[in-house]
Amino acid sequence: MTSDPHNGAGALPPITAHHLAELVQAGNRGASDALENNPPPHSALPSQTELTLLSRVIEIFGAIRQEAAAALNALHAEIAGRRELFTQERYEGRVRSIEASMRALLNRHGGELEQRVYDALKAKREYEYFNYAHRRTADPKVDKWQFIMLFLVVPLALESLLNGNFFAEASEFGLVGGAATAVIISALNISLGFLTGMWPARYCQHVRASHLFWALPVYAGIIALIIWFNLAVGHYREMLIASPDARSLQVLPRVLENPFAITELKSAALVLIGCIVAFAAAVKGYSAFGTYPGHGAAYKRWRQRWSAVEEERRRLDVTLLPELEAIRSGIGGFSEDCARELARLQSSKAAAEQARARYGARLAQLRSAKDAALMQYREANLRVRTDIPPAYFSQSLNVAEVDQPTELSEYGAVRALIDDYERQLANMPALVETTLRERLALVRGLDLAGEVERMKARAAEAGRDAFEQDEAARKQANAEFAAMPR
Amino acid sequence: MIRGVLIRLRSIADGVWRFLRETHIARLAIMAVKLWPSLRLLSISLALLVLGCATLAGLSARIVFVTLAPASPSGLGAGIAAGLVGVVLLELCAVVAIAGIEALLQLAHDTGRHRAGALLTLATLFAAAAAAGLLADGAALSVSAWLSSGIAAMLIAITGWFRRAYRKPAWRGFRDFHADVVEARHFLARAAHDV
Repeated sequence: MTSDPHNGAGALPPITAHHLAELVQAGNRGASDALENNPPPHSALPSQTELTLLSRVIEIFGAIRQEAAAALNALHAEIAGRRELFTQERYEGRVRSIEASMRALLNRHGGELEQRVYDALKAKREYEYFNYAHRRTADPKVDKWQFIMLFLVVPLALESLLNGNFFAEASEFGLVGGAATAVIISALNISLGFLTGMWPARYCQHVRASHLFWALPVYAGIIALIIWFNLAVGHYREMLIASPDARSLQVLPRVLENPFAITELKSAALVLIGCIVAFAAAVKGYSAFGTYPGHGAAYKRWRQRWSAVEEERRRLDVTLLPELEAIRSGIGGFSEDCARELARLQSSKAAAEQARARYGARLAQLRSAKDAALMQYREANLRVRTDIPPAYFSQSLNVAEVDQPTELSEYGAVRALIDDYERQLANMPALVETTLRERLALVRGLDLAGEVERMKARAAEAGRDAFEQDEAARKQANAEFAAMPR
Repeated sequence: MIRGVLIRLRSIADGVWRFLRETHIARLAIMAVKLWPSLRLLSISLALLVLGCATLAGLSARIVFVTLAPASPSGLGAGIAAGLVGVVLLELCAVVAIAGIEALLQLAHDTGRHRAGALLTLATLFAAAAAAGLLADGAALSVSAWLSSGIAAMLIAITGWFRRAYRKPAWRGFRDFHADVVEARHFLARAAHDV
């Protein structure tokens, strides 16, 4: 379909009579031959110039012929190449590849699901082992992080409000300074309390009793620290009332000297409120991530893996089925491909016709140019010469290829190819349908949803099998280890 | 007639004897005696506890007697008051000791042998540190230093025994901690009713 004829036009300029005559200097030669009355009147052979002209014509004809042949051959090759792509075997291969890609897709997703199932089962077993090893009888209650934040922020705000009220009387900056101090104090209280509940309090009940050695002292230490800190806060308030420009660090010696010497009721209330808020934060910290260290994490891992399995199953339903449908829809595309190919073939046919017409036109051009150039030579000759012209001057010189052009053999070949190909394309869908009937029926009649369901069931089964194999191998290894003589 | 008086006297004596047996200090002493064949160390520590109670009661009785002696020239009233105070204090000490033992048993039952062992170790460490501190800064050895070091030594011995008896299954004298604790609690619960 590329523009071969145009290229040919670029390579070969159009042939005119003038050009041809100039090529052999027809007029000039005619006149100069005529000075010696050449060609002689009895001559039957054309003169040298005419022969040269004829040979030029044949040369040009060769070029034209070659050009047309090249265009047609290119067309032939192109069509033949396209035909290569359009065989029944190729179509069979395509059907097979569609089937194979559907299977591959199913298998890939099945493998993913299998892995997920395996992971979930493994996490479940790990969780159960955790429960066994740590003597847990119930699932932990793990709070959402929003909930935890709420439980931290609300007491913070409440205590800050209360403390700020109490400090506002004492602080020289009024409510603002009081509020700032109060927020810092309550944040410290809450974080210390949360830390106590989350860290040592949980570890005190760890199955491994050796955790008690650090957890119990830390527990007692942090509780003492919280109480001491709140006492210091109460002292600070009293000190601020006594001398408004006291620095916060100056409270330390006073507390160390006599920690319980708080006289005013509001300062005592400050201490009490701080302790209560810290206790509430500790309770929250104790229960926020499950009351046993590590329990919540194991439980969460198992739940996450399990929900991953569920999510994968749902995803298979939602995405895999349309994907498979899209792949399968490629199977009916063959007759459309044939139709498209036929349309393209029509344009190829037109191109072949065009090349042929072009060849004919150029041949006619060449013929008339040849006649005109001969005429020019003869006219010049006739004008100048003194005796009678030779007899053959009355008739034009005949070049067989140019004057009686034969049909282009390449054109015939191309047409034959095109016709053959057309016939093949027209027959192919029906042919393919008949030869691949059972395979097509197999692919078309595939129950994709059922296949996906089966795949899911198979993957779950395989995941469980793999897990059980793992377990059996582990048990075997344990038994061997136990049976080993020591 | 005489037989009836004798029977009555015997029943009175029985009642007194039963009453005496059901006092807490007697229960402590009985426990110490019953533990002697199997658990010598615990028996010794219980005996020490009884001795401590008696010492405390005796000391306070003596203080009462010394305080009241100028008021009663014959010494009879002061002696009676001192005896009463001593008996009451003895019983009070024994009650407190038994309540403490019951609490300890409850704690041990709830926490299990490993944690009980860890707690015991912690307490021992604490006591040893306190004793060491008292011994270090007291130039003249005071009563409290002696007392605390004695307690620490007792605790160390009990910890070692506990470790071997309950936490080393390979040892010959390995015992079932849970069964022991349950038995001890049963013993404490029924000690009031029969010896």
